[in-house]
Amino acid sequence: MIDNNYKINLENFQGPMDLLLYFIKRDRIDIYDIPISKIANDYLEYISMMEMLDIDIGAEFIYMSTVLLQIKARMLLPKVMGEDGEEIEDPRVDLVHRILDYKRFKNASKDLDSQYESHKKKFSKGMNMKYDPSQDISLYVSEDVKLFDLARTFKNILEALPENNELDLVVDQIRVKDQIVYINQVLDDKGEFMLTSLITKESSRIFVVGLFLAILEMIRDNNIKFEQTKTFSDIHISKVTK
Amino acid sequence: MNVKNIIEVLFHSTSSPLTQKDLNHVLGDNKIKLEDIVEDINEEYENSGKGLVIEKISGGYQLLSKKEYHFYIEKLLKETKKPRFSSAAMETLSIIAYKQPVTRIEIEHIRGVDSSGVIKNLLDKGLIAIKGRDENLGRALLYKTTPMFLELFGIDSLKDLPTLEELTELMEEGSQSTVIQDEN
Repeated sequence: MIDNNYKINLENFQGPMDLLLYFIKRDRIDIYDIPISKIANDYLEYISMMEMLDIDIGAEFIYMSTVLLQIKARMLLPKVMGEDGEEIEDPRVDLVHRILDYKRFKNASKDLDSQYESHKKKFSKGMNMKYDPSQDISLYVSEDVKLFDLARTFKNILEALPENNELDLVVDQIRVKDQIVYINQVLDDKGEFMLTSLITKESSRIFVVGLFLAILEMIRDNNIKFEQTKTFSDIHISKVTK
Repeated sequence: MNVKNIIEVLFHSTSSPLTQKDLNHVLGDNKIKLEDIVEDINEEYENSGKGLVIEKISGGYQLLSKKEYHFYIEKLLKETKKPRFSSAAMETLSIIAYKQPVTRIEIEHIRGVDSSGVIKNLLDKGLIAIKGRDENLGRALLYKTTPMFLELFGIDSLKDLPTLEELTELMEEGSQSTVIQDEN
């Protein structure tokens, strides 16, 4: 169950290429002159954040971090000249090509998406008979906010908690199931809430992590949706009206 | 009997795109051009302000409700909405649409991430199909999009997709000022 949860949410990250593209867009980086050291740091920070949240990141993410570190190391070496005095290729070239290639298809997928969004409002006769609503969860993950931002917000919350609060040896004191019940109670009560309103200085880490996992699970099941006004800001959670 | 009426009832009787071949079969000859009649019907619908339109899709013609009426249809068919695609599915689908026939390895190289689950999903949904095997070493399976993909996305033919170069130009123009919007 839990394993499943992780897997689905990671699919939502779209892999290392998407993450690199995210950094490049966020910092408006010139793709032909990538500050490899900064990107590598951001990337590793992300990976350690995922590890801290105990989310099993895929081998692809680890592989990319070694690629980045390798390029970083090669950038530090004095420039090697080829036999004919020509400068040997920039170590970033392969990566740049891959990112550009990915970006091209990302554009194509956005275009296809808007084509779909517009066409899906037109119905042919008996259209409803053809496509059964699928139980497949990966098709139903809310993407209003990148999961990266959600995770980052949680990381900030965790870091803001006082240190003496740690009693991580208490295993399973708070279960994800209980947290879902709790969130549902709050939602029944108020209909919506801001994430930080559930967390106080007294909240234990395990409580916060449980809350995070519960929210992920509820997003996956399409029971709640979340919105964020800007990156890393507080998260607004509301019920999905069905 | 009036040919236009015949064609109109044919449209009413099927949800699949109607092709010239279908019409030839029904009428027993190939004198009537479907395209011309469709043009006539569309003009008639347009003039009388109907909520229907015939569009060229997946190599044939399909009678569709106009966009602006989707709210009412969805209200009636509330349990049977069209599928939603995750961005993983959309990414994979566009790679296949543009590079077909394409192997899983090629898809994964571009996306940088395991795509077997998404591919299986798209296969199950009938949006892609196996075209055969790569003749190179490993004889990997090759994937292509299906007519159902065209139908679901409202595309007449793969040739109608904008090229990747066109898209890059298009998206780059607007993207500098809309970086934040891009993330959504």
